[in-house]
Amino acid sequence: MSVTRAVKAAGVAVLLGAGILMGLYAPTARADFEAGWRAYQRGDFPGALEAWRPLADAGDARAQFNIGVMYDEGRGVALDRAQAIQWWTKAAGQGDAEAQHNLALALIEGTGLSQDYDRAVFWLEKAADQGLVRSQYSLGKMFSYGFGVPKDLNRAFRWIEKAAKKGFDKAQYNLGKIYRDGQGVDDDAEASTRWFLAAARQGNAKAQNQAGIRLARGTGIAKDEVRGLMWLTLATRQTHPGAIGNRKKLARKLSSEQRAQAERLADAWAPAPSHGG
Amino acid sequence: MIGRRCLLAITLACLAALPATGAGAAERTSPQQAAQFLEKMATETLAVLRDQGATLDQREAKVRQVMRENFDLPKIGRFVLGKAWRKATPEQRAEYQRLFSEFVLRTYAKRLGGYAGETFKIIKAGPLGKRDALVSTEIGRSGGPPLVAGWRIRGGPKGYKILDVIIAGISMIATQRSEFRALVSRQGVDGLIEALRLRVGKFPVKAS
Repeated sequence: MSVTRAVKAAGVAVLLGAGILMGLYAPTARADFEAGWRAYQRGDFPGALEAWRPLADAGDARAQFNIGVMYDEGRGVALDRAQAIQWWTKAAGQGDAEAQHNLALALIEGTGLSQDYDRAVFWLEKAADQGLVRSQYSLGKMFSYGFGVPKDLNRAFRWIEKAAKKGFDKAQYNLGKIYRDGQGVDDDAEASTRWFLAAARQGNAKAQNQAGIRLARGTGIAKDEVRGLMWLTLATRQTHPGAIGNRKKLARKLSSEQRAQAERLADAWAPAPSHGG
Repeated sequence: MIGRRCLLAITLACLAALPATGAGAAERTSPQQAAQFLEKMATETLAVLRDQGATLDQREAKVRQVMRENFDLPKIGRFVLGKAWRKATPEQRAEYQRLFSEFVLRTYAKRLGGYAGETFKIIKAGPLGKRDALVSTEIGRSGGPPLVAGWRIRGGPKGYKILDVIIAGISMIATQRSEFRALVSRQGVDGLIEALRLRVGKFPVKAS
């Protein structure tokens, strides 16, 4: 066997070996990750950390994300927001959208008294661009309050609209308010009522209160006092503070038959499946 | 020998944190009864945690429920907001209290709950300030050093309620108060409410 052939053969052996190792690595990593998850569910947080730590060190974004959560919540480790931020930064840099989202929120929270809104907005935008609904909504709120960015109601509107269209109830409620008040977009009573109703159907108490008021008055929708009372009843059952008074006021105007009908509708009501929350 | 120093730190943190709220005929809270109250809550909580038939989410939801019943969250919320409470509108107050409760319950259920093999031991109980009792406890966990926690408890017409938790010498309400004060001074009460909303929106650990 010539030297070159020997080298070639050795090279093939190395490649084969590497291939086998890589082939083995993936299932092992999966098993370790799952073992960590099972330990976590049992409440064995040190066990979860033990399983995830080597994976995280080897660059597994999911494990990095999960360890970040453990530090953020102080589970199995002393609560340490700086460590959480470090782990989430690693996973976020690899494109993990949930890590980008949590990292942004941790930067808003800050360690101790220092916040970093600029970096928070940077990561929220990354996660929002990847389609994460909660990030789109949070980013909209950052623009509407001017946290870390110049206040920009139109951009706030666009991000919140994106999240609302994907079915996120909080975004739908906010979009209802935006259209009602004409913030960053022309006011539009019909659109406002439509979005309040969308969130109300998912069980959002504040939206149920708004939907009730608007149906009772016929704002942006045909007047329907019985349905209005149904929504106010549902919001009241969730102890929404404003709805209690609104419901009483409307109930006084209606016949006992209408009130009974609204009550029946409220009893039969069930929330639509929620999205994105 | 879980340190005297720790206990001292707890006591000092407590004294610093919650000045006597100006109620007139203040009744002193019996430390022994406060300890019994805490013991009962701990027993209830540990039973929830040992229930491995329930998922972690379910166990934590139950821990939150136990906490909601035993913490005086409205009072804690008002105290933590400080002077800004008086200037807040009724709507702001209602929304803040709702979010603050959710934030506290989630944070503390996660920090105190969820652990397998958790044990709970009362180390001592004594008076704190004019009205309250301070019960010091040791919470043991498998695979980690025990956690020393102090509980500030006040008796009243509605029974006993927890007003503060002091972990490693740090008072929960004093920490929150200074953090919130900084936020309110920069962004106002609405800004604080928004920040609380963002905080309860993080993602939990991934299953895959």
